[in-house]
Amino acid sequence: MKNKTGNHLTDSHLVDKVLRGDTHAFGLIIKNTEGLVAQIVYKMIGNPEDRKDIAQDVYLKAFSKLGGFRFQSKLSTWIARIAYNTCLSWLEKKKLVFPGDGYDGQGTGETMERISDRTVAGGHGEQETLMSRKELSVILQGEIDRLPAIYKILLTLYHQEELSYAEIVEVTQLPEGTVKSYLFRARKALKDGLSVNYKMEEL
Amino acid sequence: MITKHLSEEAIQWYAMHGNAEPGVQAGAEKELQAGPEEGTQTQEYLERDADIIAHMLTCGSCQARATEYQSLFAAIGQQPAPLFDFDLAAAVLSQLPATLPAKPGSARPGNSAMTWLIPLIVIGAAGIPGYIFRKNILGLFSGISSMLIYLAMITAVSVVVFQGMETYKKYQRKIDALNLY
Repeated sequence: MKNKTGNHLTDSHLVDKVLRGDTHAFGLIIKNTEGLVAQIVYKMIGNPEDRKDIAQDVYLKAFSKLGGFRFQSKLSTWIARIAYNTCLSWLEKKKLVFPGDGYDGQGTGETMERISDRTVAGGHGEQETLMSRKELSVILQGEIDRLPAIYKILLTLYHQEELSYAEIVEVTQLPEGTVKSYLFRARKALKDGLSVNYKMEEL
Repeated sequence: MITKHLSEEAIQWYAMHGNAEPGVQAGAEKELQAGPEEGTQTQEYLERDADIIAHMLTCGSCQARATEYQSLFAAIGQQPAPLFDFDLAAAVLSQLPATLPAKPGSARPGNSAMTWLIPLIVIGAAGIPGYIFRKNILGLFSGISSMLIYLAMITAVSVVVFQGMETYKKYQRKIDALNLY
């Protein structure tokens, strides 16, 4: 987990400060970990208002349980686990549909159309036919968003947040074999979805 | 030397770890789904990894597939991370309760003493009457038919099985909630 604020206080120092009443230290903990929490919340919760409530709920829970944190994992991993469980409970309680519902394992028609339109409308010039990095990023994000939520989370945690398998197991409470298996399927599904549309090298 | 094209698992593994040092590859062998049994694991993984790498050196098709994955992984890693569009720290800090979170072990004085005391009380409460009335307790079971004992055992096993099934169903519900296909 990257330290987003650039502070060099260890988990132990920060937790100790919070437990001694330094709420500013808890603010640092939030700053250090909110990126990872945002990844989880955005992947699991579709409604922006719900995300806002859940994010706050995650940290209020973390604060109230901080005294029980045993340093058996990184603080960021522990908070990520709270975020994951909070989102899961929220979804169970509300019986909400995940963003990404309706995944059919095929390439996205919408993306296909957008790429085709772009290619046709752009003429034959090289500059016009090549998609910008930003557009490709949008297309990739679109494909990722179409994956089942657990795939999105695992891809994000492993490839973007660079968590280890052990840390992902800690966050999701899924068996390590299941994590690996889902990650394999997620990568394949994503590659297959993108391959329908264009060459991967363009990314 | 592998002559057939590599499996998707092997391609993914190579895309992530193929350029790493052999030691790192051995540690990353877990990428391959169907691993050998523990014991001969590392040696077998090293041999298999070597086979994969040897195949990669000669197979353009598999190299292209691995390159696709490498491009994909790089692209995922470069995706912009979502950010909350409000000051989360300020919002949370303004809601923190006045009381501090409980420190482990210190929030409840005598916590460790209670840890020992409660089992002792329970053992005492069950053990002392059990010792006093031990003859009567043994007599209780002497009159019971073996059929009844089997019935009690079956009931106990059934309860354990049903609890296990319920736990499994709960796990499945959570997995289903994550929208797997």
